[in-house]
Formats: sequence, structure tokens, C-alpha cells
Amino acid sequence: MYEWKQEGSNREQPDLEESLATYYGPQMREQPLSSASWQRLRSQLGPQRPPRKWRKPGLHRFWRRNDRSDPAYIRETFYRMTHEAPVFYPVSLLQCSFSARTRMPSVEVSAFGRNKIKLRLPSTTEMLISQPELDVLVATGLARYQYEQEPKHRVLRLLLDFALLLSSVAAILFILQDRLISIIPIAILLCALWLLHLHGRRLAFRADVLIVQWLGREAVCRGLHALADRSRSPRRGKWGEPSLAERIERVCGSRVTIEEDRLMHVGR
Amino acid sequence: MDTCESDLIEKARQGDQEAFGHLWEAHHAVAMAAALRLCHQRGLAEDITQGAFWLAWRGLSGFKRGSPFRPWLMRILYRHAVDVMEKQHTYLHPISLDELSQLEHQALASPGVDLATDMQEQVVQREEVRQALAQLNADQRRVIALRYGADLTEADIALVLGWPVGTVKSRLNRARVRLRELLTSERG
Repeated sequence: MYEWKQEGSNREQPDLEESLATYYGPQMREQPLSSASWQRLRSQLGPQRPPRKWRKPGLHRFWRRNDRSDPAYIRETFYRMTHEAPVFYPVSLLQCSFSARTRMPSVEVSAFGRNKIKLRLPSTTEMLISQPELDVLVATGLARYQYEQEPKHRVLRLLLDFALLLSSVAAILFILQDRLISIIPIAILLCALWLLHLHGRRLAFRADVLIVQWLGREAVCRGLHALADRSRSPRRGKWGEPSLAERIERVCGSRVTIEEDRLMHVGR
Repeated sequence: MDTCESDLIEKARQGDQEAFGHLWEAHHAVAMAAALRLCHQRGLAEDITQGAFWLAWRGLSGFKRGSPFRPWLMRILYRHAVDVMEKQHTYLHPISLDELSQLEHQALASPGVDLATDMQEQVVQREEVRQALAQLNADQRRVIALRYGADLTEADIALVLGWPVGTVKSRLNRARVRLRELLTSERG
């Protein structure tokens, strides 16, 4: 009786494997596309990514700094951005690094070193960056660099760095001497850190306004949304930097429609 | 891999679009069939196929010489397909009856298809599964799509998604458990 009931219920409710097999259906026969489809793809084929160079150990990596190994399509994007801005910066400002572990492409502006704008990109083919994402990243790097070059920002940054250094040293000295007064430099240290965080965010938002002027709101939104879709936590910001969700909210106001998201990997 | 294909790949690596066109001719129909089976929408499947070939073109420099082209291309396609489907929120849109009958028609020529299966019953079953899939998280949907929509093994899924095999197994198990719960509750 029990077995019969179970059989009966199985017949009424197909098991998971069967349901999924029905959902996806059987293997399809080949689906040839029209030649127009190839023509459409062909019109979008741009330059290829150059092969990764083998990095030799030892001293080689120091003199390798002069070797411009950034892929051609990234340099092209940089030139295009500087042309559209228009700003006059050499391509040597840009440093591009690929890593298989990088899932989320990012850009950082550094105050030190020869390469001030550091671009970090995923290296696996399956995660290749799309053109709108690359445009937004390069433009973001350029815009932030431009703001950081302004004298008032440099002075403010210098003062905050100095306050940070001084308060750290004072805090360590007072702590070593077991003095209660060490609370004051610690408080200054925390304040300086907080101000640096706010300063970084303010610059980032101002840079976003600038890239909207350069690229147009639609292109920036498309790039930001593509980056947010790639991110596992678009609402999480870094220290001194707003989250992608915040940037999207400020720049786009609302989400772009699904139709606008289509084919974002195929680029321009 | 035959010499002809390796020559084409070599030429395409050097930027020869004609050679890449021959690779497109040889592989796009299979890629399109795989994409269509995954997403059930012809327009989207075509976009996915084109996108995968575009990614393959951009990444040809990373292609390992001497290895077969199709598995490499299909890895790119599957990865791209699950990403695009998530971006487009494919699981939120019901499969239209036109699209379903078109899919059935295209699948009928395939061997091993049960012709007696009732179309109406299939529509109901598919809709139930789609609604259940929509309630999973993105990673769970990815593994389910690759396991059942692309018939990949756990090791292949790990290769496509860049996750450890253990992670694939655990996510697949969790997805199955959740799907079972959802389907049971849907069927009352």
C-alpha cells in the first residue's frame, strides 16, 4: 500500500533531475546563423590582447619598468580619453597589471612612482573587460589624477599626511611612557584618518562629475553598471572611496534598463 | 586538431579576420545551439554567441597552441552565457509559447527525444522550474545551468567558472536541495 502510494506520488511529481531535463530540453541540433551575423561581429572585432610576457626573476623586473608592455587597446583607450577630455598626459602615467585572481577591475591613483594611474584587470579570457568598463576606469583614473594635481588638494593631502605622521609618533611615544595624554594624539590620528577618507570620497565624486562631462552620462552609466554587475558586493566601498552603488546613484540616479545592458561585452 | 584549423588559429592570432571568419563558420552553429539550449531565447542566444566569439578573438593570444579550439571556445561561451543571463535577468521572464514551440521544433530532429511528451505539461513544468530558479542566488543558478543546461561535469564547471571543484560540488548540492524545496512547495 505504502509503495503504491509512493509510486503514485512520483508519477504526479517528477523528480528534480527530470524537471531540469524538461526545462533545458534535449540537445539541440546545430543552429547556423545568417552571414549578417558574422558581418555584425566582424565590424566589432578590434585589436587583440597581446600575449602575456614571461616575467623573469631577479633584477630583470627593475629595468623592465621602462618596457611599455600595456596592451594596445588599453593605450588606445587612454589616448582616446585624453583626446576627449581634453587633457595632456603621457601614456607612461598609466600602468596596467593583469592577474588571474583579479575578478573586479579597479583603478588607483598613486602619489608616488612613475606610473601614477594603476589599472588592475582580470587576466582570464572569460573575464575580459568590456569597452564601456575600460572607458570608465581609464577616465576615472585620469579625472582623479587631474584633481589630485590641483595645489589646494596637494596641500591639504600633505597637511593630513603630516598630521597623521606626527600624531602616530606622538601616540607611540606617550604610550611607551604610559601617559594618559596619549589619548590626544590617538584622537588626532583617528580624525586625520577620517578626514583623509572624506577627502578621498569627495575627490572621487568630483571626478565622476568630470567623467560625465567627458564621456556623457549614458556611457558612464553603462560602464558603471557593467562594473557593478561584475562585482559581488557593489554596495561595499573601500577606505577613501565610494562604493559602485553610491557612484551609480549619484551619476545615473536610477538603474539603466535591461535593454540598454544588452551586448555590453561586445563593446563599440 | 587538424592542421588546417591550427593554421587558421595561427593566422587569426596575427589579426587575420578572414581566418577568424572560417573559425566562425566551423563552430558558430554548435555554439549557437548550446546558447539557445541554455537561455531559450533566440535573440539572446545570438548575442551570446557573438559575444563569445568576440571574447575568443580578444583572447586568442592566450590560446594554448596545439590544443583543440572548440572546447576552449565553449568554455568562453558557457562563462559568457551564464554572466549575460544573470545581467539580463533571464529567469524573471516566462518562456513564450511561440519560443517554446520553436525550440521544440528545433529539438525534434535530435535523436532521443520523447515525441509523446505533452506540450501543455511541458509548459507547466518549465514554468515551475523557471520560477524556482528565479528564487536561487546567482551562483546557484550558474552551476545548475552548466550542470543541466550544458551537461558539464563538476570538474568542467570548475574550469569554466574558475572555482575550486569542492566549491562547485557544495554549491550544486545546496542548489539542488533548495530547488527541491521550492518545487515541492510550488506543487503543494
